[in-house]
Amino acid sequence: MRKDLVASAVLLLVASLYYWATTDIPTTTLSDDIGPRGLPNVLSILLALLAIGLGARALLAAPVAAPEIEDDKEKEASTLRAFGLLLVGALYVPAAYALGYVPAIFLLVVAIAAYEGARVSWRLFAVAAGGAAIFWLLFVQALGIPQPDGVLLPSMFSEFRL
Amino acid sequence: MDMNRRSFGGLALGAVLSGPAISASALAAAPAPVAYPHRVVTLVTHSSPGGGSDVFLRELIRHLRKYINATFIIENVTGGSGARSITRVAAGKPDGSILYATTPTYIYASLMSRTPHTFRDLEPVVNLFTDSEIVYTRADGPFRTMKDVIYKAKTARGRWGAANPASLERQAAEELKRQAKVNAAIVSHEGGGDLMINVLNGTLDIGVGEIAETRAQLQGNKIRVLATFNPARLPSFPDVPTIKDLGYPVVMEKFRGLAGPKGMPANIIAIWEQAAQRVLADPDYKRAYENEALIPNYMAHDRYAPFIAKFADNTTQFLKQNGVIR
Amino acid sequence: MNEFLHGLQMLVSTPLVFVAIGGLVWGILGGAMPGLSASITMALLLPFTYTLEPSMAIVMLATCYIGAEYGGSIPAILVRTPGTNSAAATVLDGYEMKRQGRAGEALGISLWSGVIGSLFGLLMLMTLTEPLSRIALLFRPTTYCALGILGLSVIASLSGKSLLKGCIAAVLGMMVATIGTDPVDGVSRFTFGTADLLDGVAPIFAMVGLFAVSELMTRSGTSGTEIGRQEIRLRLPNFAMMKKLWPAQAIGCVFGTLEGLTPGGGGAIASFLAYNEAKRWSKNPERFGKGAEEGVAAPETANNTVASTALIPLLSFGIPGSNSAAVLLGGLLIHGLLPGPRLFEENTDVIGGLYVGSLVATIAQLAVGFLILPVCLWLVNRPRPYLAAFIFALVVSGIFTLNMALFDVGLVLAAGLVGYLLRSFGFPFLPAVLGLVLGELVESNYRRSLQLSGGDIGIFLEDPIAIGFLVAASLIVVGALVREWRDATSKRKVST
Repeated sequence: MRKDLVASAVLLLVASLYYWATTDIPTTTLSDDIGPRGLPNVLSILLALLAIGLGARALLAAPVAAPEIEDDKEKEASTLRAFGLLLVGALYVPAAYALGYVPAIFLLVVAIAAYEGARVSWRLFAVAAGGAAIFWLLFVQALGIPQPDGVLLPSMFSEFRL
Repeated sequence: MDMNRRSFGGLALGAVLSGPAISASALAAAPAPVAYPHRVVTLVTHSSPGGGSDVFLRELIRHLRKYINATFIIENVTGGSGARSITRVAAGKPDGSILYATTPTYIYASLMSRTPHTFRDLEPVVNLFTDSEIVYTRADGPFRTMKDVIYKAKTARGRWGAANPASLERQAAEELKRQAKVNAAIVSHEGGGDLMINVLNGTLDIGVGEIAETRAQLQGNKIRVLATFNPARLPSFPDVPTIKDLGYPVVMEKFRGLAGPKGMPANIIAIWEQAAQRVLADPDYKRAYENEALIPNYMAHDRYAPFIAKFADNTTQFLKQNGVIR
Repeated sequence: MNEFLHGLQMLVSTPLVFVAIGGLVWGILGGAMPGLSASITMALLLPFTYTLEPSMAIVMLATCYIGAEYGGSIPAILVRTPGTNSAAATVLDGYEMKRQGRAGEALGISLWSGVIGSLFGLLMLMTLTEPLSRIALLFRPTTYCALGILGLSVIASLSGKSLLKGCIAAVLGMMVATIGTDPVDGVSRFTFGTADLLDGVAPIFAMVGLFAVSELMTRSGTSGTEIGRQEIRLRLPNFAMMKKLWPAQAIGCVFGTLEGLTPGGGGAIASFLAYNEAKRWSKNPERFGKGAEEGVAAPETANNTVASTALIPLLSFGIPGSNSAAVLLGGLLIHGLLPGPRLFEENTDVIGGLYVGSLVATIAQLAVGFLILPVCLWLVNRPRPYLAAFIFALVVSGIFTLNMALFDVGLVLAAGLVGYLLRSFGFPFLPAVLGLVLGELVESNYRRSLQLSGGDIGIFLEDPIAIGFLVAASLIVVGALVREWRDATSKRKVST
């Protein structure tokens, strides 16, 4: 159960960081007896205790951990892949900020579909363009949500209404 | 950061009022609307659709178009406890094409956090109303006057409620407690409905809130109004004393008006000053706002700006004194 | 009943049917978008109702609410993403059924359960509004605190393999719930000075991140083995299945009614509690989490019941029982209607229209489901790369609608990262969601209770309902501990 030991350590770190952040909460004369720091303090202690419990259990149960044989290499690769997907997706935020909603959705669909193994062909671009158009119709036109405008491009899509 | 440049267009669709349905007599009585340099004027509020300021703006524009020749669109910019709507307006052009519906929320939102823009980045234009802020109790409860409430809090321990934390109501209750030198727990709730339940079931002695949030219970005679924090008695409750009448110098003015981005030209402000006075005198609007227990309190720009500044100073002082902000 | 008869006349004299179905369809679509909660969906519809007659406007909003509560289950089942807060419990068995190639069956069960829940809630609304509205007044801060604790006790049955890890996830969820403006004192907590966090982290952000984004991450690069053998046909439960489902649905109706009456949690607490109880009373509790039909039926009945019963305190006191009911209140006020006893006397067309319109929508729900669900099933059977891309696009677009801020999109992606880490370390999500939804309810009401009593915890003993909730909560916790202990000892026996 090496994973549980790692988790236990990370959670202890989270608990102490959270506790440290509670010291930033202002105390007021309007406060009730428990105050705004009350629950956060309890939670950080609780998390620390549970994390210690998790670690202790992992140490004690260590010999039984036989069936957890996993191909470490493959696992690693898939973790990398997963983080890669998140990174590609996260690029949507700057793209939407700079270019605006419709181009950003187009790029997002192309990028993720390609990352997920779609063949890069005219078909992919056509589907992405069609998808961006449908999303624009749905969110901007039908639901009336002003999706982000790009700061670089003139706001040609969300300004325009049918 | 200006991602919300485009207005809440779809939402606004239903709110675009281009001018049907004005009765002939009203047209005859009212003078022609004043020309305005913009065809479309965006009115921003931090309220979600159906919330306090949203309802206020919707009723207002229904009558305002008789006096200003423009189409008014309401844009609900929610989030950040109101901070986001302030940014939206502060980043707009100061030419009268965008205005903001002010309430004490915009002062609180600016003071409670480091926001990209604050109330100081907005120019108060005109004030229209003061909300009726009342102290109420359940009709079949033991409290018949404010004296009973104070007496209980003096001899035993009072249980008072305010609708929201860090709000004008909370501040008023705290100051009353201080001035009356009583022992009372002041409990904040999550909105007027939550507070009302705890007043009705007797958990609380009194609640402090806006009259608009209590209308259903007032109509059903479920609650009794004991006092008002307003500077003067309420026209709809002439027998209800003000807190000041009772000898405690606590006055609360929950203002409702309009503000724009900093640097609005004087001629635009003048149009709004004139229109505000005329719309407040409009008989149809009068009926509507009196029904909502809104008290007309017109303030021109040169009076409104110092009023807001003073209000903000008082609030800052209160929040700092109590350690809510540093 | 007078109102109901009046409403029936409106069927022919007004466009009631069209308005009801329009609201319903809008609601289903909005509810099915991850990120658009029921209340947002209604708020988006609100401006379109300004031009309608007051009675029609209210019908449209109420049927939209019904649709949204149902719609939330569609992505919960198909892409492991609850469309609304209250569909979170549906994910457990709904998505598991989909993985087993039984998506059509799961969608049929959630549709059928939604109809049952709506009908039951409507029946309560039409016949028992007066007596039930008094229950709402019995809830004090102590009662709410106890209700929240009862909700948290459900963690035990949502934890999966390890109760310890479930508790850790719940604590993490409660930690996230403390971000934002303190509910009692109004100071800022963990906002690091930014206004974007002042309102806290909306549970829907965490859910979309934890479920949808982390699912996309985990399945990245896999060719999607489960695709290909999905049935594309929607299957409503047959008679035998209906018989099997009814106890779970009855449990859902009870919790949905209770939750609707009490302002606070929305449908989320009701669906979690209903899931938990359905599991406890089931003959085969071990099937829960592995594609049990009752695991879909119970929460979906509960959240649709809430959509009608939340109108009881709203119409009788003007006090909304959920965020969505609050939007409906806004709709009433904009049309100059004041909720309260006089609404029933003076506006029979509003009340009657509401009853009949909701009934029409409930029945139409079946037909609309038959039309749109095959489309949804077809959509999720597209090639995996495209599907993943469009789910991602839907998530970033839907999230933006809540506050119109790219900050929120970043928040959801961060939640996705956390979800991925939790998953790879073997922590369950649902306790975290529960902690996030209930953290503030428990904390703020506990503090309010002690403020009222001047620090005396004995105030809880003065509240019989709170005592009942707390006893029920301790029974659930003790039961879970006994089960955990028994499992542990039996495992040890096997290993020795």
